[in-house]
Parts: sequence; C-alpha cells; structure tokens
Amino acid sequence: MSGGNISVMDYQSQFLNEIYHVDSTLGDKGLQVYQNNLHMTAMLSLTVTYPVLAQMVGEQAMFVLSHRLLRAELPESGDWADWGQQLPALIRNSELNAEHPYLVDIAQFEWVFHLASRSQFHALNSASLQRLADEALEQTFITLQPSLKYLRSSYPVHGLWRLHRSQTEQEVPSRQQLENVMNHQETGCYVIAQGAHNTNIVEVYEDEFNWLRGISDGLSVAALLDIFPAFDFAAWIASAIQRDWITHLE
Amino acid sequence: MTAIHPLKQAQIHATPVGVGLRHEHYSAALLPSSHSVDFVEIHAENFFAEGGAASRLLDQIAERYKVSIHGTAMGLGSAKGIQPEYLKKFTRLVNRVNPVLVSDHACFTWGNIDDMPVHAGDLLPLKFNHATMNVLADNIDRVQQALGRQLLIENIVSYKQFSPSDYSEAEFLATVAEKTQCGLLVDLNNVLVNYHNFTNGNALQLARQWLRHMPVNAVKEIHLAGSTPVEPGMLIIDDHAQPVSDECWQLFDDATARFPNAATLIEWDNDLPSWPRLLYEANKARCRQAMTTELMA
Amino acid sequence: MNHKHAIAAAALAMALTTVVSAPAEAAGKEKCYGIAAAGQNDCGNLAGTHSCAGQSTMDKDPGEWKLVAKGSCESMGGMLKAEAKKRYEEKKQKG
Repeated sequence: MSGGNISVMDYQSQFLNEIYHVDSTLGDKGLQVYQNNLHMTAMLSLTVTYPVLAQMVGEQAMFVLSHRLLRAELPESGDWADWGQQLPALIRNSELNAEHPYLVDIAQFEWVFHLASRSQFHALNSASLQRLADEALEQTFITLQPSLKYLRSSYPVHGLWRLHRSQTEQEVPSRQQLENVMNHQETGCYVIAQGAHNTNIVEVYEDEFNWLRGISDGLSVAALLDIFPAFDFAAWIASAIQRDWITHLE
Repeated sequence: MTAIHPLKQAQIHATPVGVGLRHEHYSAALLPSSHSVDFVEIHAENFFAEGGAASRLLDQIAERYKVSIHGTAMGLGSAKGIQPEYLKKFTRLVNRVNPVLVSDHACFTWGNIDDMPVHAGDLLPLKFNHATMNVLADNIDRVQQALGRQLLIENIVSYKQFSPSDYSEAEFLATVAEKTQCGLLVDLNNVLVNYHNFTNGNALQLARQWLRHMPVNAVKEIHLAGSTPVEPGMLIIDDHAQPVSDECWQLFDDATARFPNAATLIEWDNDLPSWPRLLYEANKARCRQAMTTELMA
Repeated sequence: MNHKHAIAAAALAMALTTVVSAPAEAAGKEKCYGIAAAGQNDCGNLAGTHSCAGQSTMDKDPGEWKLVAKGSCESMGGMLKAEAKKRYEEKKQKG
C-alpha cells in the first residue's frame, strides 16, 4: 500500500469512527446527517428483519434497540439484511427481558426465519433414496436442506409469530387474539427451512426433534435406528419429503 | 429553417427512460395491465439473497422489463478495497440478470473501526485528491474486470465540506472516467443539492457549469430525483421523497442536449407515490426530452 | 435381511410413493411465491425522518433513551404477570 493510500485510509477510518462513535448533538450539522441516516437506516432494516418483534415492542423501542445494536454489532457485509444477528442476545441483556421474557425467543425465531427465507432451496435427488436398499446403512446418511434450523421455546412463539404476521404493520392484535394464542399449547420444538415455494415452519414433537438433531450431528441411518428404535422412520421420511426437508441420501 | 445536419439527425433519437423499482411497487409493476417503461433500476444488495421470494421476483421482473443494476454499497473509493464476498455476490447478480446498465457511486463505504472491518451503510464523501483518485481508479478497474463490462460511476451528495483539493468534483469524475474507461451516471439533483447546501450562488447556473466539465460520451445515465424542501440554513437531505423539482427539470433540459447517449432514470425511494404516478414522472422526462431534441433540430 | 434393513426398505417404499405423488415439477410454475421482504438497501437518505421515531419523549442524549415496550407487548406483559407467566415458568423448568 502506498503512502497516499495510507492517508486516504486514515481519513476514511477516522470519518467512520466519528459517525459511529462521536456525539454530534452539539456539533457538526453534516456529521449529524450521517449519524441520523445510519441510525434510521439501521432501525428500518431491523424492522424488516424482525417485523413481529417491531409490532410487539413498538417504534420507540426499535429506535433504542437499533441504536444499541449499532454499538454491539458493526455492519460489515454491505447488505443490511446481514446485520442484526446479535439482537436476541442484546434483548436478553436488556431491561425488557424481565417484563417480557418471550421477546428473546421471538427474536431468535425471526432471525432463523430471516436466514432461511433468504437461502437457496435444493430439490430432492430422488435417485439417491435407493441407498436405503443398500446393505451399508452404517454408511448411509440423510442430508437435510442446508437452510434447515431448529429451535426450542417455552412460549407459543409460532402462534405469536403467525398472529402478528397476519396483521398489517400498523395493527396490533387484540387482547383476545393474544390470549387465545397464549392459551394454546405448542410443542415447543420448531423446524424452519426453505421450501420449494415458501419458507416452511413446522412444529414437531420431542422425538422428531431429537431425530433431526441426530441427523444434523452426522449419525448414519443405522445409528439413528439404533438410538431411536421406536421412531417411525418410514412415516417420517414421507412427511420430510413433503416438507422439502431432504435434499439427498449419501 | 435549414435541413437537419446528418450528424445531428443521428443524435436525435429517444433515449430510454426508466424508473427505480421498489418493494412497494413490485405487484403493480408486474400486473399485466401496467404500462411499460423502457427499463427499471433495482438496488443490487436487495437481491443478494441466494433464494426466497426476492430472488423469484427478480426472475419475473427480468422477464418483463429491461433491468439496470444500481449498487448502493460498493464504496468504490474505499482505501480498504471492496470486500471480496460483496464483489462475488454483485458479480453473481449481474451475470444472472444481464442488465442494460450497472452502476454505483463515487464514495467510500468500507473501513476499520478499532481494527474491526465496518461498512458505513451510507455513501460517504471522498476527498478529491490524487491519492483518492488512485484508490478509486484501482477499485473501478478491479470491478470492471470482475464483471467483464463497463461500470457507471455516480456523483453523490456530500454533507461535509472539504477545503479545495487537487480536483473539483467534476474534474475528478471526468478524470476517473478517462483513466478507467468507466461511464458516468450524473445525478442532477445531487449536483443541485450540493450547491444549495454549500454555496450562496445560483445553484442552477453553477450546476450547468458543472455539467460542462463532464465528458459527453462518458455520460451513460442521468438520475432525476426530488428532495424535501428545508428551512433556510438547514442542510437539504437527499431523501428521494419528492417529485423532481422545476429547477431539476430545467437542468435536465441542459443535460438532454449535452449527453445524447444517456438513459434517464427517476429515483424515488421514500414516501413513494403510486406506480402510475411514478410512470407519469417518467413520461414527463420523455416529453421534455422530445421538446429539447426538437429545439436542437 | 436384518430388522434395520426391513425398516429401511419400508422407508424407501414410503419415500418413493411420496416422490411420485408430489407434483414437484408442475408446482415449479405455480405463482405461490411468498412475500418478498422490503428492500433494506436504498439510496434515499433517511436522516430527515429522525423526528418520527424520536418523539418528544426521546432525550437528545442516547444514553438517556428509555427502552419501553409498547405495541402488543403491553397486553402480553399483563397476561404474563397473571396465569400464563406461572404456567410458562413451570414449563420452562420442566423443559
């Protein structure tokens, strides 16, 4: 790097530092424009990534959260959609968590959905299913959609998510609607993955959840059948194919 | 009136007029009944996702319209360089869409804070000196090579003022176009906003002079946008939230006469009007273009 | 053929039935696309919109900004304080 480049680098890094860290409320009008734009863009972006959370906490809280998050997580990819992963952790450590403990799970759920909804879908290689007829089940592995993620919650996050997503942005669900969701038992295990046409969210029971974890941990079909002898593999593989969860066997 | 000079006649042809296509207008723009427009401009990063609804939508958009890809984050003047992962996604998108034009800004976006890499999420102003020129030209070269095609570079609004340096902004852009063979995207409103914010002179007059520095054949696109008016003494924010101002239309007449190869684009990003209202703005550009070329004839 | 192979064979049979019955190719043309999230990257500068979110309760100093949840959290918080919270805490401990 030439000497000239270093001076350019210095000016640019210093300017970035001023925007991110210097208090401009009394100072430079121009710097304030850059700081306001950064903050408002961050807030808007976070509201797009976390639409349900935004409806739950309201605009003002999103304003403060985005401001705090800019300090905890620097944008670095050039695409605002990549920014915001640290929000669930930030909420967990915020004063919101005591009164609203479900928010961390909602935020986690939304981040996972956000990632899956932007991922590529891989169609099933149905020829590879023939590996099940093979002798070597110890060397046969199920490959799931790369976007497939699972999570747990003690709160009815799927119901809350659906309820808020069915409202327009400005609407807040009624107390009655919220109560209905809160009183509805969910399994507490969720699987989110990119599908052929939509990003799918499926509530599963404990046994299926553990089975999926086994697959992700790299267990062979033989090992899975050993560990989960009661699990109905045949019924599962049919439903997993319908849910677009499997890409191939290898 | 004398007969039209053959060269002039060759120049008198309608150039494409497009509009920025934003999320709010996706469905209206894809309705079979929608009026057409010569091209639509999308923001590159909004289609970086490898799958999902945006990606499928892009296929539908590209099936129906000619597409121009406008980057908002490449930061071509960044001394840190453009991040390889970003350039990879950008290149993949360009290869997939095969756009009519590809552009980004003469600004910087990448840097370090406490040795951590950071993206500005904004278009930050460059110093118009030789060292920055080298950085910008190197980055443009690299991107043009990666894309295998010409890139257009757009002038931005700056909210920060620098003491005079090696080049004026106009000279800086003209020089980089000559050095790298990149094209130029002239945002007329940005030129006006900069003069309004930082000079007391007649902004329209100054902007007309600014245009005279632009190498005629390098200018491949013109951006038109409107900013929300502010109280005297306040900085005008380039919010793309208004119809194109009268002043900007007047400058457009000059630009149309000067840059016969430039496509025109209406940029509207905030407080969006309806899709038909946006297309009306594009038609206005077309009509003014026609009047200017008629006068030239 | 051992027990595991019998299960695998049954699974294969089920899987193949599913693959045949799923109209995978035809569905590819279907306009069932989900909703594209709003673009998060734009050129329009948002600095001027600061006041909408700022409201009068926002102090100028970011350190003073209080994090108060409005929206549907207002109802949810109330609900959790009563029955539901107890129930979910119990469930959490079990889980």
